[in-house]
Amino acid sequence: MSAQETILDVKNLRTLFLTRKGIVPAVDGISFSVRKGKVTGLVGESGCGKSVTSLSIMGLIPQPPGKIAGGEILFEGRDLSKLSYKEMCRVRGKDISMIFQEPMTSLNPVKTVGYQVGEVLRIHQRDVADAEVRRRVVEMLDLVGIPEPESRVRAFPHQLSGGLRQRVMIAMALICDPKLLVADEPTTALDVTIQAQVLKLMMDLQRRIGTSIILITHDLGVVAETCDDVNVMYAGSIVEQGDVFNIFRNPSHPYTRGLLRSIPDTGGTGRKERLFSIDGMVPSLTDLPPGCRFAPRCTQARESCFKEMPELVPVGEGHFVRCNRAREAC
Amino acid sequence: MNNILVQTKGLKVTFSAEAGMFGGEARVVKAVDDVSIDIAERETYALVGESGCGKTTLGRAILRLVPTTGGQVFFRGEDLSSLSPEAMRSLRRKMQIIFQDPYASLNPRMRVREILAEPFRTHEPKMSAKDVDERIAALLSVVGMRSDTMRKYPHQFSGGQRQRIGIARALALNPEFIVCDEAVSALDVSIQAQVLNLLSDLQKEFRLTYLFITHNLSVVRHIADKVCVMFLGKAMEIGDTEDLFARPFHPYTKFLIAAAPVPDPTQRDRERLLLKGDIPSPINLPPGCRFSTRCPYAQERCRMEEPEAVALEGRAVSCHYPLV
Repeated sequence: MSAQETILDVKNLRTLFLTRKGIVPAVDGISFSVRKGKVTGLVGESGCGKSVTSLSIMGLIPQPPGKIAGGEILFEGRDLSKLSYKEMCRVRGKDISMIFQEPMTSLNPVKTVGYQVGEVLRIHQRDVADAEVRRRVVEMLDLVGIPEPESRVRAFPHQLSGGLRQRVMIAMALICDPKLLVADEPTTALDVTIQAQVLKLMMDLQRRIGTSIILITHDLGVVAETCDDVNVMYAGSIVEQGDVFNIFRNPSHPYTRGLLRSIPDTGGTGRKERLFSIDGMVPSLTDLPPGCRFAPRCTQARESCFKEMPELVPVGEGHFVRCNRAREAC
Repeated sequence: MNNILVQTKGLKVTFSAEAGMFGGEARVVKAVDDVSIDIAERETYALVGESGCGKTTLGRAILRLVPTTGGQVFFRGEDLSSLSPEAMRSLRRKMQIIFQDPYASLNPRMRVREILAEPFRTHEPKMSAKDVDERIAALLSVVGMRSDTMRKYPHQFSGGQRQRIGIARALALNPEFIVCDEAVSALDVSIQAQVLNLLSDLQKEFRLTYLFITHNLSVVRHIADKVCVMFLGKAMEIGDTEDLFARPFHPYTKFLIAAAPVPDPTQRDRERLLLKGDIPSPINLPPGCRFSTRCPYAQERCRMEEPEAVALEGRAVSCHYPLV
């Protein structure tokens, strides 16, 4: 992975939340890179820290109670976590932008969608004339496949369906030609036929514009369809990292294997058989087990797994696993 | 095995969107529009479709949790609309529901003991507190939870555990029929697998019949014997699961199956079937077939004339030009 040009390097990022119950290490020392022009997936179940990672990159962690306690977020060599509020405002929306999960709640209900898409442009390029903003907004709405963009610029969010609202979000995110797009569960709230449309749109635009994407999702189907590189997260840390084909063909962490095997079979051969399930549940982040965080649920855990947290070790080219037993034949 | 347990005949549910504050016409939404399904004893019958297709409303109309505007529901051959309120009330113990959102469907101010005691207090008011506690302990062990759970509140549990409590509540009165309304949709995939396994174990143990409402096709394929695919209030295609997935006759079924992402990156370059456009508003249904505005195979007739359900190789298909 390192041989190619990267646009973002996250190094040993630690994001904490100070709560009454104690310190919650939501993201606990994760490192990953995003290759230029590629799609990098952060996958995991609720509470694994994938969204906190994206908010940390965007500088949107509410502080307090949140705090970036360590590590670096190097975007084209600049550490985003050290930027001032003002400096970060110049990056956000222009160089890096974000698509949120909920197209219903992340648009302003009292402004037209045209205004909201144009706002990004007005903030980052103050000298642009109104007519030019309007032209670019219409062009952008057209690009993301919104029918009749000339009249839709005057529509309010409630007049649009969920799929169209998510397209507006994408238009807003892409209007300043960002170098990096962070998409947090961009299709989770959408119906499956609309999800297929929106994913295709994102991939087409990605190829055309060459934006790098961080895709955050819990859906392994979406990962398989879109990502180049994958980071599997569990309880605040990355447990497996690698190229999408390696991860699906040769999953090496017991958690990744369990996740893949828990998907009800779409091939249709395993009907009515019992599904593979991972027993137990995700540990509480305020009360993490010593050693490997997955050990209490792992069928292959040995005594040593409960004692020390394993390192991320290579098991193949560009393929890393945080498991004591990774090098054994699994 | 083939006895019909639950049946709907031409069931209709309409909601009226009243004229608003600023006037305008009162409009009617046909949430369920002339749906007839037969659910056999001990089978799992799935209702699938996208948001607004009426699958949840149909499930609730069967349980008489929403008023119907036409058609009939039969339970063991008995027309539910002809039952007296008392008779309906006692029949309710046979028909239960598990809700989608395990966070919203348990009262946050009740302990698990009170939540699970409610069915007994309603239907078995004479049962002693000790017996109720025993039954609750038994229910909790059936769904794989410890009996000290009783003293806790819902917020002390994760989503998967809450869903188990919801399942225990549905099982309390030994029902025959359970509507599972998106019962695993809010759960993470590893927990979803646990709950699906639990549901199928319970089905075997207690000889249950499920109406499984979901938008997740891989879950349907895994769990269902029969499937009804709905679109904007209407049943588009009904058939045996394997058969229907292997060879969809209705264009909508075909596109719905094709739209689901495949968890295998080697298949990502396959030719993709994509539907154009959005789901039309249920208030202004297009004339003719309601899928015709999105259907790539639609012809003149589809835009004029609404197709009737026709029997085709053991399936019911509402399409003028099925893909045979």
